[in-house]
Parts: sequence; C-alpha cells; structure tokens
Amino acid sequence: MRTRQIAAAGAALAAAAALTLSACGAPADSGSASGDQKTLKVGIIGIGSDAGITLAQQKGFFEKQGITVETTVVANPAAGIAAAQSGQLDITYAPSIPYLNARSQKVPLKVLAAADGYRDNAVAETAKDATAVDDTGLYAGKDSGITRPKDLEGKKVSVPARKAQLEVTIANAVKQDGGDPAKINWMVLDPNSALQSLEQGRVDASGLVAPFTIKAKESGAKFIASPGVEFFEKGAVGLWIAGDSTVQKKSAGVQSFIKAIYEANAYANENYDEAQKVAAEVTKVPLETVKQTAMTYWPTEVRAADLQRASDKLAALGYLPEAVKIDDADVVTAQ
Amino acid sequence: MNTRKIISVAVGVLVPIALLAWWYLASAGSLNPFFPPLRDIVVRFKELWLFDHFATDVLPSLGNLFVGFAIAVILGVALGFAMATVPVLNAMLSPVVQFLRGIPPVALIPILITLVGFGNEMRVASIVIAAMFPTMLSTIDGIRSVEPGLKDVGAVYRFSRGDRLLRVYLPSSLPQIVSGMQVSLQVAFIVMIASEMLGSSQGIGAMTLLAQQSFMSADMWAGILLLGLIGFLTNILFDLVKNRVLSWYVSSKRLERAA
Repeated sequence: MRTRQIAAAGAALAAAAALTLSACGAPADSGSASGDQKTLKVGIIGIGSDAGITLAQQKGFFEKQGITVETTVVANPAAGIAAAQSGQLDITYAPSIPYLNARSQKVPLKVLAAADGYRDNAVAETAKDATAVDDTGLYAGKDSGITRPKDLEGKKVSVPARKAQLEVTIANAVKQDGGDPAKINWMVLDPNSALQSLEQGRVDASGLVAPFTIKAKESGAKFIASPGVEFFEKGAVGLWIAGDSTVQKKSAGVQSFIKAIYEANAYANENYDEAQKVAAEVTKVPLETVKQTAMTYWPTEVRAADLQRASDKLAALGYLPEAVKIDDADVVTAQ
Repeated sequence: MNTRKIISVAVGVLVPIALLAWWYLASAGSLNPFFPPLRDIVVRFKELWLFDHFATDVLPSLGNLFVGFAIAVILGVALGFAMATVPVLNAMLSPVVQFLRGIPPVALIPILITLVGFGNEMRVASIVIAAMFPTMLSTIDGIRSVEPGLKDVGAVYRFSRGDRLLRVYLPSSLPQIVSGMQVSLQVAFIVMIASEMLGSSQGIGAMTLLAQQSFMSADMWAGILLLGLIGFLTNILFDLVKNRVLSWYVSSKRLERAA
C-alpha cells in the first residue's frame, strides 16, 4: 500500500515537473505583460536618471502619446533583463554593460532609447572638473598610498557587483595607466559597507556611484579617477531595452514610449533644476547632495557606434569572449 | 530487506533518474538563453567543478559550512544546557534569544561586515549566528522533557552535577538535540550561500550568483545542481551519523512499538 502511494506521489511529481519544464521551454512571449498595446510595464532601478521617465509621467508626455506606463523597481539590471525577456516586463532599464553581456549570451534584446549618458564633449569637460561630468568615481583610502589607477595592482578594490560597470571601467582605467587589471583583488560590497571598509582600511579603494562619491570625499578618501567617462567617452550609457518579441508585438506602444522618453530627456536637460528635484525624490537623497553630484545628462538618441565602442572595449579587456556586433538594426527608432 | 522496502528504495532512485532523463530530452533543443539544454549544463558542471574550481571555490564554501556548523552546535548545546538548567540564566536570556532568532541572518551580514570585515570570518560568523538557534532551542526542550523519574533516580543516588548532566540529561535529550542539529545544518547551508553575496567573489554561491548576473545560464544551473547535490549529500551523511549515535534510541523505540 505504502509503496503504491510513493509511486503515485512520484508520478505526480514527475508530471508537475514536466508541466513546469515545458512551460519554461515554450517561447518567451506568454508572459503577463503582453496584452493591450497602450499599457507598458517598465522596470527601473531607482537611480537619479530615473528623473527622465518620472518627468515623462508627471508632465504627461506618455499620456500625450496615448500610452500608460507602470513602473516597477527591479533589484538589479540582470533581474530586469530576465523579466523583460520573459515578458514579465515590457521594457526595462539596463546600463550598456549588462545589455552587452546579455546579448553576448544570445538573449534577444533591442535598444529602445537612452536613459542616461555623457555629452559629446564629456571627455574635454573632464579635464576641467571630472567629478562634475562623471557620477562614478574611484576613491582610495586615506592611508592606502594609492595615487593613480596603476597603483591598484595587488590591492583590494570594492565594487557594487562583479563584472559590472564599475569593475569594467576601473579595469579599463588601470590598463590605460599601464597597469594589469588581472592583479586587482575585487570585492563585492554594498555602498555603505564600501564606505565603512574604505575608512577602516579593509579595502584599499572603492568604485562608487553618486551620492556615495560625495560621502567618500567627505570622509577624507582620495579621488583617483573618473572611470565611467574614460570608458564610455560619449553617448548613451543607461538604456531602455525590451525583448525582441515585445518590440514586434507592441510596436505601436514601443514607438510611443520612445517618443515620450526623448521628449522627457530633452525637457530634463533644459529644465535641470526641476529634474534634480525629481531625482532627489526618486532616490530619496537630499536635494543639496544631488546638486553636488555630477550633472546627469539624458541623451536624445542612441548611436550604435557608441555601443559598439563599449562592446569592443569589453572584449579587449577580456570581459566578453568576443565583441558583440551592434548595428542600427539593434536600436529601434521612432518612425 | 523485504520486497516492499526494496520497491520503495527502487522508486526513490528511479524517479529522480527518470526526471533527469526527461529534463535532458525535453531541453535538448532549447534556444531559450535562460533554460539551456541539460547537456550544456552537464558539460559546464564538469568543466567548472571537476576539478577546476574545486580547490578555489568548493572547498572554501564547504570549509565555512562545516566550521560554522560545528561552532554553532557547540555553542547551541552549551547555551541550551545552561539556560535549561539555570533558571536565572533562562529568565535573563530567553527574551533576547527569541528576539535575535527572529532576525533573518541575511539582514545581519552588513553589520557583520562592519564588525569583522568581509573575509571568511564574516561568513563563518553569519553561519554560526543563524545555525546556533535551532540546536539551542531543541537542547532546552530536550532537557526540560527529561523524565522526572530519571531525575529522581539521579538525585537519590546522589550523582554529582557533572555526572547528572553527562549521564542522565545528555543521553535522554540527545534525540531532540540531534533533530535540532539537522535543522541547524540546513540553516547553515542557506546562510553559507547568502554570505557569499558580499566580499570576495569566492565560493559556490558567489560563482553561481555571478553567473546569473552575467547571463551565463549554463554555469548558473551547474552551480544550482552542485548546491543541490551538496545539500543532499550532507543530509545523507548526517543521517548516517545520527543513526549510529542514536542506535540505542532507535532500537529502544522499536522495542517499545513491539511491546
């Protein structure tokens, strides 16, 4: 009797697993986000440049295009990309590096619009005041003896996530300075732990994003480099992306999204004070702190060449097995 | 072994094999980047864990797991004994223990980083903190449920305090302590993985997480398989030791049932 029960339970389990697995194997367009064209679910990660999409909502730019956008905060870009690919989200925010990583693993994604980035004259501006252009910064501990990126060889350097933007851009800075990034001892630390560890000398340097760059400076850490602008030079860095199937199925909605986002981006650049206030609300960082950080720039186009440059650099640094080919077909343009 | 038992063991072995075979066939032509074919996963499993990353990632994780678990058990039993036998101590510590065990151990990791840094000490410490409570609470329960008759006999024969603890309380509460330890082992395993989210990216959990974030799905599934396998094997190992240590208890229970 008992064995029969066990066998029955086993069969039921196998059947359940079979169902789950075949559901997983099915094309990724059966997600909940598909449906009407006019409502788009968008993943954001709660950073200052979200002021762009927030302004598009507040100023009625989406409404004007006849769409409704529902935003959801996702834990990190990788989670957002997975959700967008499986159809849980229609569109998500992703910096270009996770986007290129995903593309290199054959995740079918399209770039819709720019979410943040650098002006075309960013590199020249950096010469005057790097911290005003780049919201990422490489900071060394007071007593670490580090004065330039090359000194990071053999040192403990903290980043918010491995193989992501800060690590890649810092590795680039070290290589540019004639050092060997492979000799760096990377640590993953959340920003608060990173600041504390930097002060206690448990890490020698930290890659930080605003507003933690301001806090690092206040605690006496030494500014070493602006790795972001050195790596990307110009153009879009943060991207709005969607799965290929969403772009096909909701093409009208996606077109409207692109138009509204670019209207918002232009508005944010022109009304910078207002955009900063929105950024402070979105990130819950005091407005005074936001004002001290680098000027966010919301590009009004995505150029395939800028993404290709990042892709080539990733491959040259060994973060991609080979560069992903990016051309105009990867970027959806509004008709 | 009777036929019934043989059949149930056979079912237990065959069902997972059938599931794996089914997974292998069903996923064979998968183009979904998040659900790669099992064949690719097995290939990556071999490349990563046998034995390229074995010494650099698998052993440190297992080391932290066992050191953390051992310290947690020793502390748990010692504190449990103390709290169960010294009422004042129990009154003092009980509220604190109830408060602390409610905090998810993962939430303590950032605090541990500020206190002890982010090396292996932090990982072991977070395992100890989380895994201590199940053993401790089951020790307290075990000692409290020692039969009054046994206590009386100990008192009548004027056993010393140490003798009473070691020869009366410990043996008769051992079954409960051990089942608490089994829960502790599972908690230790979970926290081992969670503790690798921060700090140096070394360990099975860290590698699996990194693979997930870089969209290397086959590597991620290989890591998940390894974690499942380790969890399964440690549990079997624990059961073997348990049956050995508690053989007197198991046979006395059998006698009781037969009577």
